[in-house]
Amino acid sequence: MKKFITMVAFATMAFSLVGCSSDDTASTDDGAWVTIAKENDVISMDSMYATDGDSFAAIHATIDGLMDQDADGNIIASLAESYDVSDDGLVYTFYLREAYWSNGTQVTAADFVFAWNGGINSADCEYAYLFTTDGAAIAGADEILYDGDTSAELGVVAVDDLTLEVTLSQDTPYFLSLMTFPVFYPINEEFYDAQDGDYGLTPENLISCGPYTLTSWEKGSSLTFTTSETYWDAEAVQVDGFEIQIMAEVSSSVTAFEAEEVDFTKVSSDLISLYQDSDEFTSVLEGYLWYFQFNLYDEVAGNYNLRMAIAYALDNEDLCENVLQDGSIVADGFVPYDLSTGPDGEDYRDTADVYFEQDLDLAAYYWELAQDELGEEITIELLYENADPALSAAEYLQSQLQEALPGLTISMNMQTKEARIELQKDVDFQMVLTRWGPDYADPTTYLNMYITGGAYNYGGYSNDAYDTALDNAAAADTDEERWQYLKDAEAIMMEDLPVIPIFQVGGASLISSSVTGIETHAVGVSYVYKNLAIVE
Amino acid sequence: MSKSTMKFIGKRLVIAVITVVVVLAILFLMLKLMPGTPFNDEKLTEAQMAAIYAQYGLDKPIFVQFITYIKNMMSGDFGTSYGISKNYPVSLLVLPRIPISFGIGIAAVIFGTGIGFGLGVFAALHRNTIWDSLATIFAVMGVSVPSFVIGLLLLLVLGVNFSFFPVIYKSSEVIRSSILPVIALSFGVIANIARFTRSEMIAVLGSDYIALAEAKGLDRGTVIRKHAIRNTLIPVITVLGPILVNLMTGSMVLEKIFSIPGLGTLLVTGITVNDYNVVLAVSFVYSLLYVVMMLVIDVSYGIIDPRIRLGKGD
Repeated sequence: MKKFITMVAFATMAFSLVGCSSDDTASTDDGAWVTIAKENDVISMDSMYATDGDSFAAIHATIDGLMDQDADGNIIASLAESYDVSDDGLVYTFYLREAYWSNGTQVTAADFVFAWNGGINSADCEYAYLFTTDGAAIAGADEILYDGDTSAELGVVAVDDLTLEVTLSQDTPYFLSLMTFPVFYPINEEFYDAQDGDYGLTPENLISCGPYTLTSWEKGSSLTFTTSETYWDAEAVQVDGFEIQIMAEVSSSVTAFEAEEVDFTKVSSDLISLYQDSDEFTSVLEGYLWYFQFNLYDEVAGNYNLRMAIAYALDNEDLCENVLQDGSIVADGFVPYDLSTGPDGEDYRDTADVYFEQDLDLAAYYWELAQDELGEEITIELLYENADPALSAAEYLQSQLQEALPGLTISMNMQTKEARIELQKDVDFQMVLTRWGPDYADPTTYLNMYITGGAYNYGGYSNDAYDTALDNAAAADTDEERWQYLKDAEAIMMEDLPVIPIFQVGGASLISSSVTGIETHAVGVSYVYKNLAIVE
Repeated sequence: MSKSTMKFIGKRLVIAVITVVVVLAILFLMLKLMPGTPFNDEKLTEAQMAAIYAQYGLDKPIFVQFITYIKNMMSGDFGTSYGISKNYPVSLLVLPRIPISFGIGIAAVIFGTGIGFGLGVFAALHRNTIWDSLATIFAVMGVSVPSFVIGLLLLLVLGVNFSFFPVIYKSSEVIRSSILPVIALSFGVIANIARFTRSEMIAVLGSDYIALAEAKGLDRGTVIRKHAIRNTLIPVITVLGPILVNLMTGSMVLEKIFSIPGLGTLLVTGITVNDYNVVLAVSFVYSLLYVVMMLVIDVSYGIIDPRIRLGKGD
């Protein structure tokens, strides 16, 4: 008996010690280090496969693109020192600067050719569509991706080591903005092939040509990025590195911020009131636009007067200020703020119309018309997902609309995000609270979704005038003309109301007063860490 | 080891293997019935979706997928992650987390058992006194208050206010960053063991052989040490297995609060994003742990107490 107990005790202690064994990683205790809390791990460090914001930010920290965004969102040269554009806007020639990968090899035009061809030809490159006319419109991309034409060639050529030539199938005014997006970053072919399918899976399977190198990656726990000595702009990097701590619970990361163990954390809406007066509290406008999408095939949701009544009855201001409280703002149209600047130098939204401010008289007028057509008591199902901000927004909107429109019943259908998308794809919904994030800095990233037969036009919206306006925009001779066509298209859509814009998401966060340089962008790579600095 | 014991273990092993396969089969089916797919990005074209399904073999009938999965699993290949860490081998995602979750779970059991056993013995020896009542109140609180509430309290007081312990779990400071979750997790263990020990100890103290030992003139301390505690310990050890398994599977919330990269967090994330291979692999580890623990408990009954027989004729 004594022997057995001793044995069990030794075995359990040994097991505990295995669990408690220390696996020392790069020390971040000394020097200028910044610690950032994130809710999710980086899903992929391979720019061909990454699809989420955290992965984009991590890739951007280690690899530069041809172009980059400065703190104000202006497009600036990065690996491309300069570029030429042909008169017809169809051929871009990029002249690369002398830059090196962390293994000592030079960054060449061939690295871009390899990465781009890899992306368009990979089945699971979700952003492959950005090569096509739905994005950058690179010659040959539509044929490869949509037609499955294996003989087609992508219009990207390495003229020499430092000259990259890109041919487009149509003029794409926002092409340079797209060059900041990770799917267009370079990958060193020789190194990639040498990894035998493991490229990007561990720090050992990666090389960098950006401000930092990934030196440690404990899955689900932390990533350490150390300043790269071979970076072409190393002088601009002011810290020794930074660490990303994966903390699934925002309340835990806020606690860690209080304990000064992290320098940056997001703040959930339930904690905002506690911190919104703090100097360390900040709120940035994100690109995501939340809106109601209607199934126009459905008798109830397809009723124009009902949609108009809902649009005028909504109190989006109250929703943003008193429910979400995270810096979200009312969506004045289907193109969000801070997305793109027009030829006049103004933000698109600032010069476009404002649609649907709350007007209860108009709401009552349309509601009466809807009741005449559909009956006194109208029930419509709202599909939404079970995570914030959709969850709290949907609950608020249900009670607010039911109160504003007596006789209206909104039955709630809460699903996971995955199920919500699947139901939308199956056109198995009446009204859905959904969202869209921009892929590039142009209104078409939103407006193109609702062309007749568009891939995300689940509700079946179709209007020739809308399609024509967008066609005209694509063929416009001048930027001014194009901009006007886009505004016309948006006006047509808001008149027909296949969707009702509700709010543009704000990201509330806490940033330590001793840290500067955490840059946020509404489009493309949302977090940029190159300019991190510690202040006394 | 006797022949019958070997036979018993062999029989239980076969049942264990069948149990694990059945659990995996049910899980496999349930995962396929869940809405959505691991590739839920709206931006994927239908052709891309079809190509991805073909690439991962998800276009084949469920039965074929399951057989392929089991076959690969036999050779240690649990597939790659679809969504949590794209294309990363699931086995490498799961393996480093096993010692983390197990380490904290086992440490909580050891700590909780030690304290709980002492508390139970103390309460039994001071039966029907104020000390017994205090120990009972503590035990009831330990069972009633969820471990994550205790965890949050410890985090705020000892982590933030006094900075005694790190708030973030760090692999370079495993012992320091494990102390708070271990304490939080062990509260339930303390309570359960204390209550169990108290009732066992009271029963033992009232038994004939204790009366005989006392009648023989042995002093109270020796009787308690050599007879009462020893005989109370046996049933207590046998309940440790299920407690340990419950801790492993029930510590997901604590893993989230303390940002511990353990199995629980991985399982929850895997379910959320429909990462089938990850969910199956973690479930496999949990089921294996459970059946092995049950097997160990069954076998240990016979070893700890020879009076307990394993079957007919033993």
